[in-house]
Amino acid sequence: MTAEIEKFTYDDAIVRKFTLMTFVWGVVGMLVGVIVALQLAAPYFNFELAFLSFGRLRPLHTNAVIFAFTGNAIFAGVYYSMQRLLKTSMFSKTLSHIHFWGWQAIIVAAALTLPLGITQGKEYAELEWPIDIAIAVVWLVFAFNCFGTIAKRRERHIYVAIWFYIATLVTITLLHVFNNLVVPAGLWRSYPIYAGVQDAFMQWWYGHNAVGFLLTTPLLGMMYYFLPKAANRPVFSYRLSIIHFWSLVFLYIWAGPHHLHYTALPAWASTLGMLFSVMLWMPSWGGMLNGLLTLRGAWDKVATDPVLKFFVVAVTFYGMSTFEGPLLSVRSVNLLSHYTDWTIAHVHAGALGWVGFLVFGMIYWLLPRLFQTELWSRKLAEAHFWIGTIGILLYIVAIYAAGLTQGLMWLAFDDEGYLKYGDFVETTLRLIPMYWVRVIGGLAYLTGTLLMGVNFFMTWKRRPATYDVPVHEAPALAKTYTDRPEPESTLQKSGAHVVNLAYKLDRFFSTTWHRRWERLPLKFTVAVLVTVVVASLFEIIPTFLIKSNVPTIATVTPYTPLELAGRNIYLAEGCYNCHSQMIRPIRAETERYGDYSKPGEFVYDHPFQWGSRRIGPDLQRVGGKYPDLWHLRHMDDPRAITAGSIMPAYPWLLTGDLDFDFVESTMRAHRMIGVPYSDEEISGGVMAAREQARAIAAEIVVQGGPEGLAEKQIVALIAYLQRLGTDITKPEPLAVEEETGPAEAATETVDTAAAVEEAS
Amino acid sequence: MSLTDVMSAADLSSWTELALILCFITFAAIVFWVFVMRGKASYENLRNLPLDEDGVNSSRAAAKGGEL
Repeated sequence: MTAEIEKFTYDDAIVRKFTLMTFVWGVVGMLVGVIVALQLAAPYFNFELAFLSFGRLRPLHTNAVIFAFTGNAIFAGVYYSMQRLLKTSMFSKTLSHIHFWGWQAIIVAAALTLPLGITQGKEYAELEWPIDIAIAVVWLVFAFNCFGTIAKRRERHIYVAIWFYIATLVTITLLHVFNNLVVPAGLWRSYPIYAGVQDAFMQWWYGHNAVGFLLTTPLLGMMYYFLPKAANRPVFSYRLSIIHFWSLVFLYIWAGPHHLHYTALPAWASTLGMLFSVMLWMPSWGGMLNGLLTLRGAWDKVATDPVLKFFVVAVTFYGMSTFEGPLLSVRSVNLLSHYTDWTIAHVHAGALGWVGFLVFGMIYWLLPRLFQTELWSRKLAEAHFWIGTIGILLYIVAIYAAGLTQGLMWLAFDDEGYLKYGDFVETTLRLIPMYWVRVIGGLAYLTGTLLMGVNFFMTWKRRPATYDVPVHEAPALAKTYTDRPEPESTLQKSGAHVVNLAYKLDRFFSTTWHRRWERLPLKFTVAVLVTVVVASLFEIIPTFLIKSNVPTIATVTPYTPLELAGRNIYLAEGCYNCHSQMIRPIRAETERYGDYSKPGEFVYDHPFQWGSRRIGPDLQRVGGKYPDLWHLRHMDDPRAITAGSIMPAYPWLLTGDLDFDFVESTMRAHRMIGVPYSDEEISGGVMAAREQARAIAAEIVVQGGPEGLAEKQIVALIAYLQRLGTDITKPEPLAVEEETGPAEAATETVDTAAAVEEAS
Repeated sequence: MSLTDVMSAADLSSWTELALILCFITFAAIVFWVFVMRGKASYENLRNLPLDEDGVNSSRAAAKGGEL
């Protein structure tokens, strides 16, 4: 029987839109990247303007390049390849349009709110709850459109690229929802339901897997489609793609805690993350080899085709990054690399090399097809390739050098056993030349992207007056499908059990069952979901439910209303982008910063503020270290206090009024997530905050500072900074109340000494 | 008795070791499966799917009743 041949067209208009916005947001994200790089080399580029300060712009850079540039590129690649691999148009043009405009609106909302200091204060998850809800809705629209397309396909088999898309759709949904569970305290302010250790765990479960399932799996899917297309050769090994896919999906989800070595996260969790990270090396390199070997016999084309050049460098950087990632996850290497620019170099090798170049290669391949004309200039594309490559090399070589310099200087002791570089700024000053090289590298990369814009525009100009919409033909899939039945074995009946077992094993390894899965998208999706959820729960459940993970410290109490307000300012200014609040239990850190951090110190921290890099020193024990006036002058003009500091000035905090009206709603939101504020404390919150503010303002005057600061934002921030890390030095209360912390885990009361013992 | 009590009373270290072993066995089994399996020819169609989008596949599929 011959199936009815159906005619259909592909919707390339939506691909054109996403491709254009990939370029537009790419330029924006990279431009902001160059600005923040400039600010680190020369802090006067902060211009003493709140909305241009580093702490607010850096999240804009990361969000723009991850969600706007890469996001739009992924959508362009998915919409183009999925239609063709499934031999159907997208499920719904309306959904495609809602997806496109919704995503652009989200990006605009991010671009407006982040410079205004509206943030959740968690890296790569800064956007506030209304935008998070919009992201979830638009993402589900995208997912629905994709699964609908799969449902109406005319190709029974689902190609490997679509497996990676499915993994992305499933996992990003989970990550986004569970890391952004918050309690709002107004339209533009919220607090995560998790605190301290648990929040850190969830954040890096999210953060690492966002790299895995937003910057890796969809791009691998695109690699499996666009690389064979560009090379006009099939993928090297379909079998290798199977192992690449399943092992990547299975292993990646465990790896997040390696970001938290030597922190207050229990060692078992970070060790587990490390082990799975090391195992990840194998599937990652399997994928890299699969990509590069696809070009076997076609390497001559690489010399002349800029698209293949971009792809080859992209896949090579994928291999380099996925080798370096497991290396950095090893505890002893992490000791040196963590908090340094080494991590930044690693991230940018992956982002600029793997993500950026794969996207550029895809765009150059798409442009002639989308605009139905030849690429305007291959030479310009070649120029983009070389300028971009030089830009990457300048960037990463300088920042690898900066990272190693930082790590080694921070750990160095002199012959007498003192810190060799006890003043933090000594290291900073050593890095400035490398930061300038980074600016040049970033500018080169941006210049290359602008050249692509010229090529994009000129190619678009040469488009036909009306686009030709080819009509394709393919037979409809039968409504019902039954696999060929397994050949019947007579071995069982004849009693040859051993031979029968061997026969069954042989059938198993013939992989018929996996090919059957490839025809069953629902089953395939459920398998991915189970893989991801089970692996996540193996780490999440013990982290949340085992009491000894977070021994409560009796002297740790909730923040005062003013400190809470100060913490809001700390979050809004993005201080976590430069300062950690996590002293690792190693001598180089305890000598420099003070007693190492204990899990129980963070039970009221919604969100945690451990940070991931130290452009400035750790602040965990900064409380009481300097007078109030020192903080005021430091925030007003950092270089007047520390010559050579690259910290931005925050003069607006000295003149901006503190919004006391938010105190009560902030306290109420915190109580909802487990912070034990009483009704009286909440109703008297504003009064208590004003009282503490007046006391700090008076103290500043006594110390020789200006008058009239009791209503200003700076006093709240000073209150918060002076509180940091001081709880463990307070005398223990006489009667210890058994208290339930924000996480149910925090119910065990132990004294500070016991906590120290347990943590060690 | 809450789930928290149950989890806290459990020996966590053995749980992680068990999980690790299970994961490794799974991983090894997948590797074994991929490298010992036969039937490479049956994968040729699948490898060619991206190159097969302009109706070439369609005619072959039609001849096979819409299935490949």
